[in-house]
Amino acid sequence: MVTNSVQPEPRLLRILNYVSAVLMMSAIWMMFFYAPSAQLEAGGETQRIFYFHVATGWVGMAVFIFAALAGIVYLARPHPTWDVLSVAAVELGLVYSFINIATGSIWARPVWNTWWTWDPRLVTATVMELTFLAYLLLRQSIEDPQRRARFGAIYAILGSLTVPLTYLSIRIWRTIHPVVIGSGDPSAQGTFDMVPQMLHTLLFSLLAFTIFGITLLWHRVRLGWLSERVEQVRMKAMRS
Amino acid sequence: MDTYGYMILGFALVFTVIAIHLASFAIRSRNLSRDLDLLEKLNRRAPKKKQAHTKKKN
Repeated sequence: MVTNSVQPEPRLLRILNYVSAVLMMSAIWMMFFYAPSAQLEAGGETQRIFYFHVATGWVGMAVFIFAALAGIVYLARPHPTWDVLSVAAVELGLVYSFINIATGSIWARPVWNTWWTWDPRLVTATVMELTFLAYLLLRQSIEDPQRRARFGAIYAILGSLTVPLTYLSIRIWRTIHPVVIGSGDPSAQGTFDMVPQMLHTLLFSLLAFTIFGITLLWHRVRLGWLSERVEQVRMKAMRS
Repeated sequence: MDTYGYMILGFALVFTVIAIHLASFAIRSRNLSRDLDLLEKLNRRAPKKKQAHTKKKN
């Protein structure tokens, strides 16, 4: 039973709120004032959104994998908490992946001279986004909470296969998308050179978005618990 | 080529999406808390009504 719902925010969460706010503001400061402008071929000033693009891409993929792990645990030990965790992770992953795709499209306009191209990385990232969007829509069509959670768990596990596919797409197929992580890899098609200040900003943004992501996930899980609690009280009201 | 416009568009999009997501947390939390209060009030009233109804019958 999920009962710890309308409790005040735990101390650690309140600390995380402040820490993530400070980290995010510092990351934005670094994007503007620490990292230099890129060459025009790499996007010029537009390249500054690349720090958001990579960081949101990383967190988006990580939370989709987390949703699948929560699904595996739910199937092994069915408990509503794992389902709440899985839904929270998928919702967060959708928001972050949407930012990732949209910022990539904005960066591509001055660099590739198009908002969109049917490049393997862009296609697999969009397939990943749509797969998990369908997860939320399909869940709403199932009335029985246990069946919904079981379906959600299996779907999240299968849907998570799109994550490694998206990550590896720039190594498996020919693509114009730059390889940022492990650009020294001989299988990588395009390279991405950064001056040290750019690398520092990227690493700091990754840290800031990861902490921010954990904070948002915790808030979303609390919201899920509250929703479960409302459902329980509603059932009780209907019986009496 | 002036790329400032694209940079502003990118940052505006990121901030807007995050702001909407955070606002949705606040709205959903407020609505759920309101629902919970209402349902708990109904649950508290229900046994009293039931008792009154049984007394009337007797």
